[in-house]
Amino acid sequence: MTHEADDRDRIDEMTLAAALRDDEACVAEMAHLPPADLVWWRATIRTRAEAALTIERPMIAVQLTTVACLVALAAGAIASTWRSLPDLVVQHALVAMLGVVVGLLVAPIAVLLALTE
Amino acid sequence: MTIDHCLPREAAASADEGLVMTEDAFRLFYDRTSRPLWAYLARVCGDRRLADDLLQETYYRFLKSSAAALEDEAHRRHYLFRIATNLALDLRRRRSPESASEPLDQETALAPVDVAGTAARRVDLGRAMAKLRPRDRALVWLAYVNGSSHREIADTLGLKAASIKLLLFRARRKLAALLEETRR
Repeated sequence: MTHEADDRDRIDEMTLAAALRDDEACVAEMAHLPPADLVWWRATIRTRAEAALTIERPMIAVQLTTVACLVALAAGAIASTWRSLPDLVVQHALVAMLGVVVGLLVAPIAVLLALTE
Repeated sequence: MTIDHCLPREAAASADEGLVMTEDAFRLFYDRTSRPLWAYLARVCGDRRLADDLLQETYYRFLKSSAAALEDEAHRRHYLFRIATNLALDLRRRRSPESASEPLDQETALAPVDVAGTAARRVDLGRAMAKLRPRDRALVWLAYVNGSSHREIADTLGLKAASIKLLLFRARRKLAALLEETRR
């Protein structure tokens, strides 16, 4: 690049820089900025929500794993006693009936308590 | 009921730890940086509403980052603009290529302010800037408005410091050509 071209480029650069700074001042005037307090408050709310989610996530995972284990255990137990199940029911009909009734009575109360909690 | 009561104690405590700046310090920093940051976002995105949204998101991410704890104001400011640039460029990348060189929303597209005297020149500059690629807009703005060094620009835009001089030269030439075109 020749000296002349170099100088011209430098002048262009300075003109552009001045125009851009002028434009910035102008554009900045158009801003309708939220107050700092509001931005801070929103950030705090989001941080807290994220923190709560971080704590809840492992708890939900543990609960789901527990339920899955219980279902698997129950399925295993049923499968192992499947053939002798009719005999067992006949032999312990009264106990089985009692278990079903207690279950039906207790289940709604448990659900109600869980939801209230 | 306050939010503190809705959350476990640990969550509320970690929320306070999550923001590494005090409210007073943030207020001062915000007062000094929000207007130039908004102008930058508005020019890079070409849309006021997007600039509003990105401004909030930028400050949120800044407050969550360790940069908010930096003592040096210049470093904090540089990091803030880096977050803003990443957000703005990511947003443009997610949009279709056709809309990349057009205002995102015609209705809310940033119109250069019409002030007597230098109004025409500003309008031309605004139009020319809108036709530049978002990365080039960021490049010229960071260099000539913010006065960032080549190293800082490279860091902000994820480019090599050695390539900034050439990229800036090309962007400047492109802008000059676009300005000529709009004036004709």
